[in-house]
Amino acid sequence: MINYIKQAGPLLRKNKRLVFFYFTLSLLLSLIVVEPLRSFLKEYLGSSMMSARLESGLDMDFLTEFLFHSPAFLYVFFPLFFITLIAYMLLNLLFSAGTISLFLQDKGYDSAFFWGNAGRYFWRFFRITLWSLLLLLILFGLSFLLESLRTVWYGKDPYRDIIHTWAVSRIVLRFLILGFVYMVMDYARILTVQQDETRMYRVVFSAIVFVLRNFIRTVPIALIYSLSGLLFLFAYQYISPPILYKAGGVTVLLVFLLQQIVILLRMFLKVSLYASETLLFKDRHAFAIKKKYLKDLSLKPVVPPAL
Amino acid sequence: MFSRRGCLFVFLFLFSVMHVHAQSVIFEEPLSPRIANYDIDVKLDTSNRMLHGQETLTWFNKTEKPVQDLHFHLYLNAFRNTESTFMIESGGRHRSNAISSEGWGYIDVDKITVEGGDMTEYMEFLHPDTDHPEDKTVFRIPLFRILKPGQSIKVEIEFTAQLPTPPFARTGAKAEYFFVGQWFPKIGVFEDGTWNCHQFHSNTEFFADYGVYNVHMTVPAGNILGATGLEVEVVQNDDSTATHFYHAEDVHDFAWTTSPDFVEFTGTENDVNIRVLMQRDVAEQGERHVEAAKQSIKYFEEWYGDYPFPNLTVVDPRRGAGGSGGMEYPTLITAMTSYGIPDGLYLPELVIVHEFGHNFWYHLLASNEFEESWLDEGINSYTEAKIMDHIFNDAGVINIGDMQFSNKQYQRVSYLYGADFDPVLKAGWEFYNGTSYGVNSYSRPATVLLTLDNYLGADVMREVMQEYVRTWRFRHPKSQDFIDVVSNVTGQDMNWYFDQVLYSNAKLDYSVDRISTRKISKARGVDYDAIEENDTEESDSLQTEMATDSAKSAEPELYESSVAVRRLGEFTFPVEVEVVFANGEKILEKWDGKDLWKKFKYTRESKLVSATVDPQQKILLDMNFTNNSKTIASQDSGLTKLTVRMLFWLQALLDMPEIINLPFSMFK
Repeated sequence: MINYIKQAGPLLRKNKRLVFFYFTLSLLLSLIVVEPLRSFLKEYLGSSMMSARLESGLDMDFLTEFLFHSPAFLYVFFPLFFITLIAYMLLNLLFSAGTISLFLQDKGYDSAFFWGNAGRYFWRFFRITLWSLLLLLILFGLSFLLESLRTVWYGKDPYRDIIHTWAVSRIVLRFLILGFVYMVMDYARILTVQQDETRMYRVVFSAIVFVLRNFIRTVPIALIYSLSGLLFLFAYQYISPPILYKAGGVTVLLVFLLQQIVILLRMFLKVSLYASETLLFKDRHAFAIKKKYLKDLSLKPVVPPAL
Repeated sequence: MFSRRGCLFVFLFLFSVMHVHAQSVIFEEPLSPRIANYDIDVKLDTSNRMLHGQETLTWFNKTEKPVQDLHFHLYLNAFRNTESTFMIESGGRHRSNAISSEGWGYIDVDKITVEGGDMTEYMEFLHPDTDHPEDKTVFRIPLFRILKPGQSIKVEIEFTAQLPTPPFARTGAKAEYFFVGQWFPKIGVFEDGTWNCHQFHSNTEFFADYGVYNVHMTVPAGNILGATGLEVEVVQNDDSTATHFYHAEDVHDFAWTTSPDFVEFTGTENDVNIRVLMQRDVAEQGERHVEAAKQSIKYFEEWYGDYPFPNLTVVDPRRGAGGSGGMEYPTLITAMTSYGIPDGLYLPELVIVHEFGHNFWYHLLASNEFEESWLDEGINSYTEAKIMDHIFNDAGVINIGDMQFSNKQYQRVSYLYGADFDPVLKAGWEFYNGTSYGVNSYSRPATVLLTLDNYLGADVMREVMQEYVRTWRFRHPKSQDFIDVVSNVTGQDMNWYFDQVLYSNAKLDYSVDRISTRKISKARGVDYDAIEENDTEESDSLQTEMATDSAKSAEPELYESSVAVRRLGEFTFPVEVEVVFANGEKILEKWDGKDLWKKFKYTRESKLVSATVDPQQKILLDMNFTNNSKTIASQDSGLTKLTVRMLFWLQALLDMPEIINLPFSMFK
């Protein structure tokens, strides 16, 4: 498993600019949401000294007053955020089609190849997403069974510590479900490109089988990357306060740089994850073909040499 | 007066040797007029959540007027059906709880006798406030002799009641847990020659006279019981029940609770014995509750006056019984918490400080909560804010990570969101809606008093509150009584302030409208240019010319600056305006705030930098702090930093939208 992570390195070196694609996408789309919000705030603050107070962190007087006097803010923010989120997801799908195609071919970045495949597989990837949403709904539905299970075990009036523990379990379970669906989506996309498959429900099903069959490999890889991403955020939270709450224009620049480094690292992890997953898939898929071939010849499979 | 430990000893001794009937045994001398005195025997039928009670009321006419009839509250009938005043007004909801269609509550008077004569058939339900003919929360009986001033009368009542389930609007039962409040036929208050006995409304609380209570409560033998007053004895009965006898003096209500599941914690503060009855599932918070009760007693006694009672019981409501949470009764309060509540979220502390505060503003000073709810809830919210923010360093509601939220901010923001519909002083049932009642009873008066605190100074305000407690304890103060105390202590007529805050819903908003600063240049134009030419002609010698030039260069540059301040609301209040110049000079202007605007002009060697109305934010009633200041140079760095932070977290959120799962999955 560590080998798949290590081997992602050379692939990434050949495709460094992909990280910048994802990073730029993240920055640009976020700016689309943030700029109107900034204008809102600017309009509200005018040349008052409240703006200076915001230097030392979020002021609750300001926040509560602002939401009271500018209720339109939320009406603008939420729709804009959700539209941007959808756009971000769709563009990520587009990019991932190009990225996976490059990685499957073990190629360095080639603009025509990248965008050609991005366009070619986008619609199929979109359909994979829809099928995955169905899978997500089914699995989330199962999480509701937890409640029934709790009622069976503890009755309709359990103690609050039990309610709390089960609520935490529900949250964890749903995060695991989300993680599983994300993995299925990733491998379904890899399968689609690799096999040029057009029937997406079959691809999703095959991806589920793949993820489950290779559980001890697929899950740790996804976990390592997800936890590393969270680690970057926690590190930011730990490092940033001394700079965040200091006044002055330079600190703003420092904060911005620090934040964007964190985002860049997260994008690096995202592309690395695609690379590792592609490598794992290629390897295990080759092994499966070989196994099938040997089985057909009634011979015992040979474990491939360690990568 | 005896110390509280001394009181307790005398109390136990006297109870061991004498039968108690409205005499003083806790206090050496009665603290209150003791007008309404009750002896009650009640049996709890847990399986049907029924109460079977016998009550003897001894009532004194301590007014100057004769009494011809008696008026009683039957509060539990608010939950009798959908036609009660309470249900019609509330739509069956109170706070976040709904009445269960299978959990109605009621109270029936089975028999009422006055001095031996059966008066049951003369009972008549009254609807003094609203025309809801089916409401049965108030009744009267006539008297066949006029009760003259100074006389007393004995009334005996047999009653049957059922508690709502789950608990609703402060009272009720849930499985093994019973919280029994507003549960017995209770006489109204006779004042100014008439009865003050209102229907039970969805937005009103209570009003009653002080007295002595002797209450025998029979409950299952294994149950733990807590009640108003002091426990005198527990008698184990043959039928697996136990009868708990409680005695309370100089109180105006009596509530009790029982459950086999309580876990008991105790503590002592200033000689007050604290007993906390926690639910088993949150028992690990027992000490936290005891500590909050200790802090409450400590600061209330230190800041506002003596709490004369020897004990305090804090009840943690059972899960699913939140309707009985956050309520006050004499010497007994209910708290509110949840499992796993973080240390920095001070909900349990806030509720305990608030509910204990009622033992001052509702109990020691028994104002009329039907008609002037702010005198209890508003003053109490003010003292809650003062104490919570003091204990938790100006973060009296939340102190988690980067987020600090003070109780003062909490009161102010609650006020902002509901200041539109009513003035503070209105009968509870006449408010526009529940929110308006809440804002005008709690957060708005709290903000009014916090503003007054800043205006008078904390020490003077504390003197005001202490004097109010001293003057009005064990009486029924009204709004004007409070205003008079403020005026007397401060030596100034404060009606100008209270007229605006109590009788109108005038908004207070002062702003800096415009500021400017400009260099004063030499005057120009027809007259000035001519003088300049003449001057040049006259300066014919080189020496004179040089001297003039050097004088000109030594002449400092002057700036003319102006500040325009506006009053945007109808509320007038004296304000300070801080004007800051580039050389660091600060001028603090005073403005009575009566006109619609005021301009300040300055001629200085230095440029104007900024102007701020109410620079220390003393006037919490100000609806908008942001428009209180203006600067010459734009102050964008804070905004830029906020924007940058928003950008980052938005990027993070876009990249992991699954985090949205967290709030959604917490509850369902």
